Amino acid sequence: MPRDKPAAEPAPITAHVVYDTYATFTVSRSWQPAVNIYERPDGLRVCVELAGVDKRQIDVRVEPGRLTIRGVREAPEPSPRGAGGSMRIVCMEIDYGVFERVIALPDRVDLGGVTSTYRSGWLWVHLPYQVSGRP
Amino acid sequence: MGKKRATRRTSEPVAADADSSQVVIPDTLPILPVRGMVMLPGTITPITIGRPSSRKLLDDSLPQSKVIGVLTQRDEEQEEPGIEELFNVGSAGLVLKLVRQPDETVQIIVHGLRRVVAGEAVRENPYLVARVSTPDEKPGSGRGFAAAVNQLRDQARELIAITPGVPEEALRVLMNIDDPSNLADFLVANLNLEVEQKQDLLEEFDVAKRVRAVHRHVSTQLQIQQLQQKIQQDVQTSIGDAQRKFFLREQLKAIQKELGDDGEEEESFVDQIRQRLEEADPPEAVMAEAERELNRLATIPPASPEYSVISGYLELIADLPWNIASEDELDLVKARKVLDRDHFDLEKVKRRLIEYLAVRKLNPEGRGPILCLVGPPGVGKTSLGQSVADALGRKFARLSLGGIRDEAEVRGHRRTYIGAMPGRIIQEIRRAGTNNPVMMLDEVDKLGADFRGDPASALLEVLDPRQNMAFVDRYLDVPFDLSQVLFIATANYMGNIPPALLDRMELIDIPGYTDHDKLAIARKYLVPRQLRENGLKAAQCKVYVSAVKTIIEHYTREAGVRELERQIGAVCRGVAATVAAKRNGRAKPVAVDDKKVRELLGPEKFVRELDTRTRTPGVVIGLAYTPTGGDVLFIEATGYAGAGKVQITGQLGEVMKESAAAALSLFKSRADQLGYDAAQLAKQDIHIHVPAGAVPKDGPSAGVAMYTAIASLLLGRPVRQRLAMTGEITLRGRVLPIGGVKEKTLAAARAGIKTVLLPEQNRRDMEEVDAKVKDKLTFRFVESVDQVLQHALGVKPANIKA
Repeated sequence: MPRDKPAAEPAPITAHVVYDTYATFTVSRSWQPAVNIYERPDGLRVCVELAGVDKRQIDVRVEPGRLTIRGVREAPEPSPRGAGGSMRIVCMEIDYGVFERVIALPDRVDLGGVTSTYRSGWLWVHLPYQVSGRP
Repeated sequence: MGKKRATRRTSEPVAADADSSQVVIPDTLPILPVRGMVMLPGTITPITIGRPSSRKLLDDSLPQSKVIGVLTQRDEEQEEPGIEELFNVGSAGLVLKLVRQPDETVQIIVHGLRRVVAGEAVRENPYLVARVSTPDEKPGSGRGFAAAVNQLRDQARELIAITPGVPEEALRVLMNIDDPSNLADFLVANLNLEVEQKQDLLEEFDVAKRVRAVHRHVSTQLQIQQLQQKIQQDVQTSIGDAQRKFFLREQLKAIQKELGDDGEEEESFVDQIRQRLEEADPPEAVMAEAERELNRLATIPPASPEYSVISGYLELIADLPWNIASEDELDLVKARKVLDRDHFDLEKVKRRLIEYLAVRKLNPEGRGPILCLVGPPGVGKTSLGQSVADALGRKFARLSLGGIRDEAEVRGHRRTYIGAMPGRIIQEIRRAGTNNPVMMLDEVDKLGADFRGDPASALLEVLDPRQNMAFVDRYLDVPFDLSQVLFIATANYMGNIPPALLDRMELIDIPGYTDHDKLAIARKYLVPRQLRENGLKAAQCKVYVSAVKTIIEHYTREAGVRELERQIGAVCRGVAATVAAKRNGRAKPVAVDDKKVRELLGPEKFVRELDTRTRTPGVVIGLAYTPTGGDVLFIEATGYAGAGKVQITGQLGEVMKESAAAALSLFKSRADQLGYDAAQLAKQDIHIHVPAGAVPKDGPSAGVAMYTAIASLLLGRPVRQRLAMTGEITLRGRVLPIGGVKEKTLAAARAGIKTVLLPEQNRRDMEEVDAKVKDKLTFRFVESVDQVLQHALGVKPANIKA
């Protein structure tokens, strides 16, 4: 079914709700980073919240109708050495490990023109629309 | 940070390399004991940590490794379980998140990784650390397994769909799990199972067996859910129905209020009935009963079937004329005039009615008589009822009892039956609107009786003047006074009226009409009426007396005048055809005389056949009394060579057959005196026949005729011409009286008989015999059979012993 609007499944929000009442099953054992998506006349701008990830460990793929962002984020942990080997985790809220996010794309996206940049913990993916008249 | 060209792939499945992050499970794991739950691989489970040892475990181990072993306690009560006190199969889990509450309890979210089997403990303090192994599962295979997995998935989907409170997401997850082992674990985690059951399933490394076991649980829960859903729906429906009805009723009230001119003055149905009841003013006992029903009515919702039953009953009570009576017309002269206007002759009936009026005049409280008019059809019994009502100035109600078999028709159904109605009597009274109508009980001799009841017996109560003042209809259930009703019953034949019923009525015989009466009736009533009905004016058609006489003599043979009227009608139609065919409306009137009648009606229907039939010995004319008046009857006897046998035919009843046997015995006993050799009898058979064979006949009054027929045959002497006879015989030869003298003589006169032999004891009935008949006939009264033979055959016995 052709789409003309981008769509991201709202996984990170519901996940918290579900945890409290319901044993959830995850197939891929991955977490899903939060995204913002902006639409402009010339194309889409997708911003992925991916702080603390080495840019080289982010895999951005585009296929017709689909944008996939995946990678691994290590848990951000201080080195235990300075403290004489003694440390306890008081709180651990930040997702870690394998992440994967799939975003459905409208057909108009020019797959050849997709670019991405990583800046200050945000991964920006620029998805331009095809110039009208082009097939 | 510079731009990076996004990789572009088009064909490779997205999730293919998801295992790249496979978490390695070490040989030894810190063991987190849990109670009341079982963690399954693949699930993300929140666990609340309260025990200090467990907190210590997390504090110490998490900085090194996020993987822990989660094992369930065998005994929930145990505070610090050792390794033996835990189930040895559990899950290795990855701690995803950790949050501390202000009271130091810790909430962790653990992602179950895979099944582990705990071995010996490496240390027990301050928390358990144990060796673990991770045996491989035995994967399922084969077509049966695939089918089982599909079925499990389908049933699970159904279960999710009907289980309230399950997020939609669950369904999506279910459909996305491809691996059967994961599917089973996901379901185990979410099914409502006991800890032990979950543990058993966790310990099942054979996937095929686990799938089957989970399937059983899913089916069970599905059935329970379906049942619950059904119960839930039923409960909802019943509540919904009640609410709906209530709501609609409220709306109806609102609508009624809007429709009424003034809500204040609007009377409820109950009030209306109450008012009508008060107006009807029934006796106290009845009013009490009505009041009771009225109170019940007020508490029943109008939609209830009971409501219409009670309201129907109360309406009947309100409608019945408890106190309404019409004023009797007590002017005897005027009453007589009305009766004379409508009916010719019927002297006895008219006289009785006038007497009744006279008594009413003198004693207004007297009871109504119950008259029964008995006579052949077509003599005007039924129409007499209407004229009596006219003469008395009363309402007229007619009840046709012919063919009624069910006593409930007379006395009504009990109100407990659905569709119960009052009996016909109460219904007619209600219709008449007065409590003293003339009530005609038509065809009382044609009442039926079978297993449903005996309506004649029910009528007994109605017709008994001492009982009918408190007639209780079963539907009405309270007594109604019928004593002011003037009952007139009619019947064709007295013999068919049940004796008990007959006993309660005052019989008035209405005999058939003589030819002379018929002529008068035809001239006065029938001809004018038929002319009118056929659109003929007196100026267009002149009917002569000769014409009517011809019709009476040759085209009809009946006691009443129905056929006569039909034949006159046929003549009038013929005339009407002629008149209408003529162009000139002012042509001469058509004259109808006997010739014209023959022309219009064709050949004569009834021929006098007396002379030809009675010329041979053995043929006698008897006289019979039938429901349709009197009639002449031929009795034929013939003999032939045989052995003294007797045969009797002609649809004769038992009594008539016996009478024939008696006649034969009587003849044998007197053979000597009559000069007949009795030995001859042994050499011949005798056959007695009474035509017409298709009509049933019975009664003893043909005895004399039978005897004469036998004597005439055996003595070889024909009976005198135009002689008829009637009378019962005894074996001693005496002639006993018979009934219906008037009808029989009438029939004899009609048939052209000249002489009639009657029993001596019937001489007193001569008063009733019409004067015109007396003129035509010669009567001979006889006491013994010898006299009969003397008159009929001219034979005188040699030696009368008497």
